[in-house]
Amino acid sequence: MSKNNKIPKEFKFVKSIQDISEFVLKKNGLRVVYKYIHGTSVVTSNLTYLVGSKDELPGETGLAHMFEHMLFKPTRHDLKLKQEPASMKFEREVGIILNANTWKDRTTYYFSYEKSYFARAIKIEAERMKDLVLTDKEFKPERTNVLSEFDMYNGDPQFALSCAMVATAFHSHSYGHETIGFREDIEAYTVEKLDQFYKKHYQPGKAVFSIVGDISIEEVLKTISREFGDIENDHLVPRERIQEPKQEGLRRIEINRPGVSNVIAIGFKHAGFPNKEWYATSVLIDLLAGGDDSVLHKKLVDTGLVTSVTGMIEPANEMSLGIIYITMPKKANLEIIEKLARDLIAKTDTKEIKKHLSTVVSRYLAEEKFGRESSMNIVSQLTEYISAGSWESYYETEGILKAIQPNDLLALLNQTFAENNLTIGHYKCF
Amino acid sequence: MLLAMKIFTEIKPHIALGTIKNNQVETIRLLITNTASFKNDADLETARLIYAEAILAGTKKLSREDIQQSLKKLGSSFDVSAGNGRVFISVKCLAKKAKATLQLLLTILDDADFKVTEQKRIKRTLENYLDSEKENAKLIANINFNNSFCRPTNQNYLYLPEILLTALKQHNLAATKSIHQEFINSHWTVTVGGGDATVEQVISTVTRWKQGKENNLAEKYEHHFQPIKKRSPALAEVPSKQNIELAIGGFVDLTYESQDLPAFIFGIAVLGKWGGFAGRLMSTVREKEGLTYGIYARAEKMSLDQNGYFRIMTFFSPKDVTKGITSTLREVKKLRDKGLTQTELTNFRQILKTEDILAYDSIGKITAQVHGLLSSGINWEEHALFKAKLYSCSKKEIDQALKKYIDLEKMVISAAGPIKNVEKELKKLK
Repeated sequence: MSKNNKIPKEFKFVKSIQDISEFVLKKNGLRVVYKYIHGTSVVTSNLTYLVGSKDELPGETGLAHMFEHMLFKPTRHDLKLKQEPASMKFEREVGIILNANTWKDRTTYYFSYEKSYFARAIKIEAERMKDLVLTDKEFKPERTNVLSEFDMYNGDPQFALSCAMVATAFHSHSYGHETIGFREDIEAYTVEKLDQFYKKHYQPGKAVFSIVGDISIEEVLKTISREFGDIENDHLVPRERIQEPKQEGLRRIEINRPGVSNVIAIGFKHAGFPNKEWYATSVLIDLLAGGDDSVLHKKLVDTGLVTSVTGMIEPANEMSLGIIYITMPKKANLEIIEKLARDLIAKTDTKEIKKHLSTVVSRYLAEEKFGRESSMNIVSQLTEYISAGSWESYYETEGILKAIQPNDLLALLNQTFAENNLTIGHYKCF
Repeated sequence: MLLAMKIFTEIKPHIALGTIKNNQVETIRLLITNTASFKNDADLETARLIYAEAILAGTKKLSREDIQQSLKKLGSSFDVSAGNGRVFISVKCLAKKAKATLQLLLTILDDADFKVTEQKRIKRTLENYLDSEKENAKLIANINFNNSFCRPTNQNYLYLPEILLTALKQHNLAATKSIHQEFINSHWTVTVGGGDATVEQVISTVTRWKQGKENNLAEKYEHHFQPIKKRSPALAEVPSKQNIELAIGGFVDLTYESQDLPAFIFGIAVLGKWGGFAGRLMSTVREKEGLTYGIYARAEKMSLDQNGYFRIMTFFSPKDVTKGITSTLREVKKLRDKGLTQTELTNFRQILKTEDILAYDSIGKITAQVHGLLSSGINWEEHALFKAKLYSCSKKEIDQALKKYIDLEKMVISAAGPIKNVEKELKKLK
């Protein structure tokens, strides 16, 4: 940002790091994070609400995700004009890209469009923040869609395992259920519950706009001020923090279903994002299960013992469960493969770690560049940093990675895969 | 509209070239395909699948691990895939590493060494992979759908995993070597996206290298699709799945140069625009009836000298499948018989234009798009003319095209999943 940029008086400039700037609407605390991209004529605007599955109570799992679906239903303004929901109308008249997704710590809604439609996009977001009308007429068919979505995921062995794994790994913390929730809870939702959820969480003080694309900051702030300036917060409630009790020993689950492939899931708790330890864990999992030359791929896939090995960790704000999935033919023995995999992990030595670390910076930075080429991709990445409370870290990857030492990684390996940090799942076919 | 991206295509007798230049990006994407398809049968298809792995498994001087480590140090990636008579290479690297990355690629192509040990490894891993793909209901539904419109001797015929598994047992090294010679001596389509100077450098290096090779266009085999005689379901039982995957559609005797193709594509977009919520199928079968999470339609396979079909992709739960298919066919019939509305005509003109604008947000997307067109023998100027026709289709032209090319009595319903208990109902569907 330069001194020449005129910031409307309703906004306060917070900071700039490289080409990203943050502002806050003084009246209600709505934050705006902005990055300019020249010459595409495309803008992606993304509104992230700092509410996700971790804010759900027992018996109401998946409510944040259900509500995400409901935000595409009519507002008071739509009903007055007897028109379909403005967000859907926007897509159907203009062909914008629109969607949303819910995760553990946040729910995010985005539009991607030709820049001349910016004002229309912002107006829609303002209306749905304050004026959504929740009725059974809109809710019940949409719940059927969510149940359909659940069934679509549930057919995947890895998803079925991960639901059971997180429920077993976390005894108290609300990361102990998948974002979509348990089917039984989805079936029990009511409009009243959704309405309470809306009023509690959908407020400007709990929201962050990311605006990335071919549009000036002046136009961005002027428009947001006009549309959101009069929206007030209604008693912002601080987020609850739940302390997960200490795990004392290995935890196990098993699922039995018809099929042709067995799956082992090795779950491990890891630090939140974008903590330095999170990055170190990411590097570690990459070494163990990240591609053709990873430890487990070479010894298990290349030898024909298993079909595939993948590892994943999530950018969740708090301690979360990462998982290594090992898929194998039905004839493969789960217990033997599990032992083999865990032995291979335990025997990973400093030589392998050093060799891996020698190329981590070049690979990760290249991947980061490729992942940040379009406004939609940039917004998608920024969302995770914003949700974690630290968008400043968006540009810190190189420094963090360079600071990781082989001994750090070795110590992390032993800590991560110690029995009192593991949850192991078996998906057994019959 | 002033754009930062500049696109250029050229189809020469010995090579087809596409460049997408944008000095704002620090990355390079290089895509290479043999322009025309080669002979297709199960043995050759298996040989190509093996080749896609084998080409990166070492040269006379470099082992597979050497190649992997070199790529990691550069932060670059090579991705090779093969299918349906074509080999496809995708290279991603930072612009500053383009020269070294390209050097590595061309060394691999020049010096390829197909070792017996690596062939054995690849066969083991491929066997496991194909075994697991027997559960891929979506893939099976699509293969059976496609094969309803072509004979096994047709270039476009696709092979089910179990067929490829049988062919795998007979595969030999000579076949892999033969695929390599066929690929490097064929007429190539080469597309590069990135900053101006590096793009020029990459194109120049690749074309210079290719000058030393032959540029054979493939021999023409039977490649047109054929209509079926009478509507029939193609059913495949995959008991491990929760939902039934579907591919529904019909033969369309149009090529890229047919006068009616733009109008037909427009009509199919109204039926089920791929992605988002704008298509009729999404607003009825999903939103109003709550029968599925996603349902889309598009025209496929048409190229300069080849006809194709239209395909609807969706899934339903077993309890909803007959209702879901009935609703889908109802919407197809309605659109065919009554045509689109004036509002749909206006809206979809804008929607299709917006789709093109939004592609400019991502150099990756545009590079892939240009490459796909060039591989089919279509340059960017021809594509622009096609688009102009698409945007200016009249309602009459679209309605006529839909009536002429959609024959409900000759549609294929291909279903794969837990169909056993609903098989009788599916066979009775009218």
